[in-house]
Amino acid sequence: MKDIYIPSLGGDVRLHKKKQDGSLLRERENYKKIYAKEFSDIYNESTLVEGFICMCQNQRIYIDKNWQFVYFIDYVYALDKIRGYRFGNLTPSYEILLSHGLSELKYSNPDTPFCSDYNKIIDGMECIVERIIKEIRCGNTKKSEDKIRWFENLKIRPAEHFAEALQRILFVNQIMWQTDHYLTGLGSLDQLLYPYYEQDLRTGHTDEKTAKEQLKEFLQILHQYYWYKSSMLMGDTGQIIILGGSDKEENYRYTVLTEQFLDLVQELQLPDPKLLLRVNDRIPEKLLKKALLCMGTGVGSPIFSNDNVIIPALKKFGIKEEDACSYAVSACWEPLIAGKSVSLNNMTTLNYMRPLENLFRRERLARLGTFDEFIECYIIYLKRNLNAVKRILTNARFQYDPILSVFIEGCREKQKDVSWGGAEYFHAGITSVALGNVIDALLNIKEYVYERKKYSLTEVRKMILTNYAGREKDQKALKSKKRYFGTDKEEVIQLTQKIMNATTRFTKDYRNEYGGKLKFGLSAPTYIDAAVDMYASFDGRKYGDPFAVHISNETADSYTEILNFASALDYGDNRFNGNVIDFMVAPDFIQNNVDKFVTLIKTAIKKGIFQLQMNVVSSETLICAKKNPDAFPNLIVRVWGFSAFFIDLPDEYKDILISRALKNEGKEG
Amino acid sequence: MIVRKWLENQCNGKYWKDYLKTYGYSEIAIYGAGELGRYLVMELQSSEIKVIVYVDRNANELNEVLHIPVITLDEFISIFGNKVDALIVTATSADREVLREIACRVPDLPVMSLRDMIFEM
Repeated sequence: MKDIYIPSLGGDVRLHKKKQDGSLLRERENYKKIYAKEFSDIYNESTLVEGFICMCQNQRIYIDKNWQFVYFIDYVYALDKIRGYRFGNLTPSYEILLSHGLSELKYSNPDTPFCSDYNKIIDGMECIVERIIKEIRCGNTKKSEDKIRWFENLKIRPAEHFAEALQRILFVNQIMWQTDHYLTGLGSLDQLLYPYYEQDLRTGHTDEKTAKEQLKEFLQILHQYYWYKSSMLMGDTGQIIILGGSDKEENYRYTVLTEQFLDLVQELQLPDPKLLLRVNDRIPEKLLKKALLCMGTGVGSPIFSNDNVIIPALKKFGIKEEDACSYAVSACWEPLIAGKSVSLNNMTTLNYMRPLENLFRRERLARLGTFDEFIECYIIYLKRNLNAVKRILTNARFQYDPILSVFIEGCREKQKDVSWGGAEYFHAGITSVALGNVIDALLNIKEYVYERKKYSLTEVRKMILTNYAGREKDQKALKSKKRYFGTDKEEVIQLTQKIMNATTRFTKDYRNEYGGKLKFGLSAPTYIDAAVDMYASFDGRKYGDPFAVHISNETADSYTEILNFASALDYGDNRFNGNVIDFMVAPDFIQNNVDKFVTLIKTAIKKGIFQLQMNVVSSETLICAKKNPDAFPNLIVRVWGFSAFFIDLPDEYKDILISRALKNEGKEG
Repeated sequence: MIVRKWLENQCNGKYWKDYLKTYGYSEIAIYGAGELGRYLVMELQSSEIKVIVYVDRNANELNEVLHIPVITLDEFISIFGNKVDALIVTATSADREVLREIACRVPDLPVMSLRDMIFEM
């Protein structure tokens, strides 16, 4: 255990850079098993509320003398026993605690078990606040008086100033992480914080420079527990800050804080927290350029999210207009109404390759005389597969969670826990993977089986089920072909849309027990994991090889081609659960062509792309970094929907990035 | 897990006979004459779907189960080939191996895995 980070002592940046084999997450779990046992034994025998109170009374209070804000997580007293389907991948309502003191939130007459539990949770938080104040008084920390005032206020009244608001956000965030709410988002902080900022500047309570320093420290503090917060991969923390966005009149709204967040993330060059910039066709070019230059530094932020497409889709789905206009996203891309929604946007993955694999395994292929019949048959298998997906959603039983209920609007008013439908929105979201591979495979079948008659379907079946045994030449030829998916040929767009529409047809009637609907999108983090046990496919992919990443195509002739493809798709009905284009871009490409890139992105926004993220890195850098990691400790890349240090990634993820960069540069077929 | 899902299906009125009918099958073979293979035959007994034969690596010891003959995979391929509508694999550990063997030797015979299908009903 000698390399393990000591709990509650802040920053782990130095430590995680020592590790390069992806073993940190495993070590964290082992660590928790050993050191958290004592608390686990108590917690296992108690209710969640009793466990929370015990945590509040016993977790170690750590005030870092170097910071002006207070933020700590004590792993030993983490509430991490699963008692049902966990709520996570969400953004709590920071606004609730900005606009209230803790005591103001309590029920005056807690006459139901939920109200009683709710008040006990607030009591627990008050206990932590008291202990923090005591600790500040005992120690000689930076700006003690300010801190004491902030925490005294937190007990009884709304936040008054900018720095105090930052501290409250940190407090809520800390409670979320301490109580196992994984992938906790940060919401639209440029909008939320602006009234405090503007008032403080106007009244002379602070100045621009001080406020920016505070914001910088805020970001650094949130990065501190990077290791602890990472979920499936290092960097997968879900700490996403939303910037900018459309109002009801479709005007573009942003504040000086929007620009400051972009400046600071560019300056700090840390992968976490990450930024999402909501864009529309009225976004000022100046802001878009700033965002592109930030992205061009390779920090992985911001991702662009197109309000012109997303807000109408949310409204059509049944989200109220004012909520749709203030959407945030779950950890990566999936639109979510921050503080009002407990829609779990990544409950499972729809693997589009499975129906195709099943078709080849189960079908009498001779009866599929035309390509249209083949497609119709694929859609029948897709329906069967979606039955399995819906079943997973239906069987989920959610954890009673009065802690989260305090920070989700609607629960207090309805006196209902989030797990009983207390939140405004409780939809179910799935991600999807492999549609690109399926489109390529289907169009190869059309070309080679039905048009050129080079192979029979039975031969194709044999090739994929035997992993191209004895047919290596055929496999290589398919693999080196230019991909269909992501090109702007009408046939490709129509087939992609047909399968998306079929998915809608088979999912639109789904309702969970609180009336929530099902939504899906074309992005998923599972392009490696979901492919592990899958047979070869007729796009030249071999058994177990990863699927293509999101909406991507490194063999496309130009960026315009994939932008046109993605813009032509209809993301309406329930097809809006994250649809991100993923570019590989050479580092000097943006710097040297920034104005052209601004025009390109603006055009794509107008045409109707959904979302866009970029990896700004060259194959040469990636290859060198893999060979000699110590020379590239701070190299950041974009994986799934988050940014991470390249050094922290498992080799299979590094290899995918290298291969994509090589293809993008035309160095690999 | 499989037995639990099976029970869940039955509670929801979802039966194998109806599911297999959606594929248009009437005569099938079952790979695996163990517990799951036997349950499947019992559930299909009152239906129009006829189980012709069991295929099992221990065929020589079993000979017959629920009055249905048990043969090896080699025997099945040489005797039946693609003359049944489908081979349903109930022995989940053998799923991949059987599929590969069939794909090479009887490429036109549909092979289904009980493990996958039970979630789709």
